[in-house]
Formats: sequence, structure tokens, C-alpha cells
Amino acid sequence: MKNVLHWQPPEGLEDDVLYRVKYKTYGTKDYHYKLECKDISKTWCDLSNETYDYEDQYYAKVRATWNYTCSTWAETDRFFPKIDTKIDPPVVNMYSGERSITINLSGPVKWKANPMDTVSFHDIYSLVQYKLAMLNNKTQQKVLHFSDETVFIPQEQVVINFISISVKDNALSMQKNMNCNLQDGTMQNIGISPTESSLQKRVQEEASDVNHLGYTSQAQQEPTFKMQQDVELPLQTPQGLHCAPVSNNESIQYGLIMKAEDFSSVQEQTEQYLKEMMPAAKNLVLYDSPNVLLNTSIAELEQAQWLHLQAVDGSPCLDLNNIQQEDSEEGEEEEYSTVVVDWDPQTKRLNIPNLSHFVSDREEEEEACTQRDFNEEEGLLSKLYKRQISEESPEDSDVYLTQFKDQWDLHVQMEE
Amino acid sequence: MGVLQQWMNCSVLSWVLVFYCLPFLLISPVPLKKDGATVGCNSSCILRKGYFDNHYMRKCINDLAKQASSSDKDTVNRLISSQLFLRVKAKDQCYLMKKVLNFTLEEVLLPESESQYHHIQDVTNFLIKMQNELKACKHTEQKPQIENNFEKLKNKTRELGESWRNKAIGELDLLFQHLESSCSQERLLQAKPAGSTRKE
Repeated sequence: MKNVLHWQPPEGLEDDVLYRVKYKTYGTKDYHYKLECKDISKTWCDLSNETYDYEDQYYAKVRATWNYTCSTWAETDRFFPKIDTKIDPPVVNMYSGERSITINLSGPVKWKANPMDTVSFHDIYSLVQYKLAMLNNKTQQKVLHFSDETVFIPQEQVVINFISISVKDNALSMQKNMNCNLQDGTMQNIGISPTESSLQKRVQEEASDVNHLGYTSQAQQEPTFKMQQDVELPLQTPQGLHCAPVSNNESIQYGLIMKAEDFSSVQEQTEQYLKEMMPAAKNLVLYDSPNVLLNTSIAELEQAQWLHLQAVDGSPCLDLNNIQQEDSEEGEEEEYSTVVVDWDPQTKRLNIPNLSHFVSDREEEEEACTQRDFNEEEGLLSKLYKRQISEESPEDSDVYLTQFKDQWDLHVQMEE
Repeated sequence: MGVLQQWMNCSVLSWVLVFYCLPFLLISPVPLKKDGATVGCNSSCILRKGYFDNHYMRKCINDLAKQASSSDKDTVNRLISSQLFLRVKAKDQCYLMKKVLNFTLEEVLLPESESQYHHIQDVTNFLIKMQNELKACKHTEQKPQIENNFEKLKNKTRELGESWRNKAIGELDLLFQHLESSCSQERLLQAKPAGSTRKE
């Protein structure tokens, strides 16, 4: 973990003061100099490498020298990386697509001294969970409620796709619920099937190794649709993702997909999110210097509030306040048809019976927007597309795929 | 002669059978020697997950340890250290920790329960529950080694004099962590990942 010792300079003696840092493991005899922090003028010292074993306990101490006079050592309390580590909340980035909102959550990552270290953050802090809540600024309503069910285990990166589903009529004036439960496993099946009484989304473990993206639209008396997607999730460790019931009194419904991203893509960003520091030094016994000024100043150092340190405790909370909401497109003529789209990224074969049925005039108008979304790689489908054929270059054009991409938002077509 | 020939045929057949079956016997997933001392079989040396999911008690224990360790100026002597587990197999570490837990409760926490430390009574009661759950936990085959290491720990406490009691409270976080890593069901089923620690 990243353990950085900080201290405050003696007041009035900020210039020309040099510091030396020593450290030791609890239960060993000797302190050792941190060579990189010998006679330094900065007021911090990175001891991550020296305090690498997070199940051990450590001490560090620092001494100020000024004008050939030095203080005695100011020592920290015992530092236990596993307990004293401060965990920051995840960094949240959001992108809005035509009918979807993508939220990237970059969680804390364990600092690694060498590439052979395979221990993840979750291996150490298996109890840490994030709770997720979303607020629609426009309506001041919570789209995603903060509850015990809106909990997920922090991954190195989690991507949440909210899909706005334009659904009309009385069916949608009712309270809808959506549940999503993503358990460990690499192949997940996601289905959204709103009915008059409920909108439920479940992510279920799928034993089969089918690797395709499918879409089904069905006509019934009630406004009902079904969407199925098989999403390949490269989870590093068995994890569980739980997504919340999504409810909304307006005629907007959201589909929700949460998935883990590759660790490597956020490795650089995330180092800063996990910071641990040495605990505050209290009751320090310091120096016997003939220099009164130095004595006074180092007394300041002695009483300094050294560091900001927080123990890991409970679950950091996340409140997303900037969720954009896509309006339902009222007055839209919803054309109804029953079509199954089956796309297999392995064979790159797209089976769309009667594709022309989907291409209404309105969709052609929307084509530019949809294309823009793909260019910006914000849409849901482009994410899925990227994941599933990641080994191939994006330039690898495929007529079928392109055709399907252009039509990917067909799932919003609903019958009245 | 016929009998001899028949015996020879049987013998050849037996050797052929042995020859073909031996590799299967060797790579068989069923252990030839029953190892009743494997981690999973020592079912009385397991603490329920709920003990370690208890955030409140975990925090109480850590806070209590922090309070006591801040007044412990002896940074050289450590009670719960790698020496305690020297040559003790993983399957016996829970039994060893049980002994350390009993010792800490009897010698430190129960006599000190009226002390100035916050939450010491809560922590004591919580640890007593764990102690009760480990009552039936027995060692498997390494008793002399375990006893030897435990005796060294007790000798160290005698050397330290009265200050060891404060030190033991300051190491309650270590005690709890080691109970978790040695006795928790989840930890027993999954070995600690390689490269996680680097002892000096």
C-alpha cells in the first residue's frame, strides 16, 4: 500500500531545515535509515516499499537539523497498514449517450511494489462495499435508491450503463422496480423485461459458454419487451455486484448494466486514490539543542498535527447527483414488430430477419446521433462490442456488425 | 505342468494389471493415506464468519489496541510475531491462537476489565464468545512444537514484567487478525495469495 510519512516543518524555520527519516518494523531491534529521505528539505517521505507487508506493524521517526544543530527524533505511533489505511471514495465519471448514461467508477487499487504482486484491493479488504444512489436533478427524485441492496464490491473499475427506455401509457405510471444481481463468474446473462406490474432486471450466472448478443422484441397486449445480452465480464476475483431497484414515477425507465473493466486501463489513475499515512505523533520527546530558536521551532514540530489518517471503517458512500435523464419521446409513433436479432462476435455473424422492418423514417433521422454515440464510444452497444471482440482491431470493419450498430437502439421501440 | 502354466498365466495377467493400474493409483484424487488433519477436517477449529463481519466489534478492538499501543514505548518486543508460528503448520495455527486467546483473556482482559480503557468490557465479552466456540478445537500432531512456541511467549511476558499486559492489549488487533487468518472458515478454504507479503 502507499504509505507516506508527512510532518510539519518547525515554525519560523521553514528554510534551510533538513530532515532525516528512519523506520522499523514492530518487534525488531533497529531502526533503518531511509536513504532517499536523508537530509531532505521536503516534509514527506514515501515509505511504501519499506512498509510493504500490510499485516506487519511499523514505526517511523524524523529528525530536523538546522545549522549543524539537530533535534531528537520525533516518533510516530505504531502504524498498521491493514487497519490504518484511508480508503478514498471511487472516482466517478459519467458520459451520456443518446439513450444511455455510462458511469465509470474507478475504485481504489492496491499499491504494488512489483508486477509479481497479484494481491488485489478486494483480497485485503473483502468487507469494503460501496453503496450507490442516483438523483435525477430535474425531478429531484432518486432514480436509484440508497439502500442495502444498492451495494457493490469495489472493483478496480466498474462501468454502469443506464439505458433510458421510452415507454408510454398507464403501464409506466406505476411504480417499477429493477433488480440486478451480478454474481461471480465470467459469463453473465442480463435480461430486462418490464411488465405492467414490475420492471425487473436480473443478471444471472450462466453456465453455458454461449457468447453472443441477442435482442428480442415481442408483441403482446401489455407493453412488454425483453432484452437479453450476454456480457463477458473479465472479473479478476469472484465478486458480487448488486444493483438497485430503480423506480420512477415518470414515464422513464432505466435499464442498468454494471460490469467490471480491465484493471490495467485504470492502473495509472487509481494509484492516487489509495493513500495511507503515518498516524499523528503525540507526546513526542524531542531535542536538547542549545539553540533556543531551534528548540522553540522544533517544539512546534513536536506538537504538530502530523497527518491526516483515517481508519478503514464501513463503506464509503457514493452519491451521484449529476445523472442526466433522457426525456421520453412523446408523440413518437411506435412501430411494432417481432424480431430477433442474434449477433455472435465470434463468427461476427449478424442474423436480423427482415431488417428493413426496423428502419422507420424516424430511425433514419436518428442515425446521425446514434453514429455519433458510437464514435464517442459512449453507447452501450459499443461497450459490449469492444469487450467481446477486444482482441481485434476496431478498424476491422464488418458489414453485418456495422449494420447492427447503426440499428442498435431498436430496443426502445415499444408498442403502445 | 498345467498348473504351473496356469499360475504363470495368472502371474503375467496380474503384472499386466498392476502395470496398467499403477499410474491411476498414483494420480488418483482419493488420498491413499487418510489425512484426517487437513484444514477442512478440523471442523472444531473454525470460527463463524459473523465474528469477522462485525464492524462494530472490529472497530472496538482496533481502537482499544491503538489506545494501549500508543503508551507502549517498547518497540522491540512483540508478543504475537512470526516466532510464535515457527514450524507450526497451518492446520494447527488455529489451535495455537486459541491458546493465545485463552491466555490473553485469563491473564489480561478479565483482570483488567475495570480498567480505564474504552470498550474493554465489550471486547472481553466478544472474545469470550469466540473462546467458547473454539472450546473443542484440538491440535493435530504437532503438540510439542506448539507448546514450545507458546511457552516462549509466556517466558517473554515474564521477562517484560507488568508492562506485558498493556502490550497484550496493544496487540489485540494482531490477535484478532491472526484469529481471522487462522480460524475463519473463509480463510481456511483459500490460501493466502502468493506475493502478498514480504517478510524481512
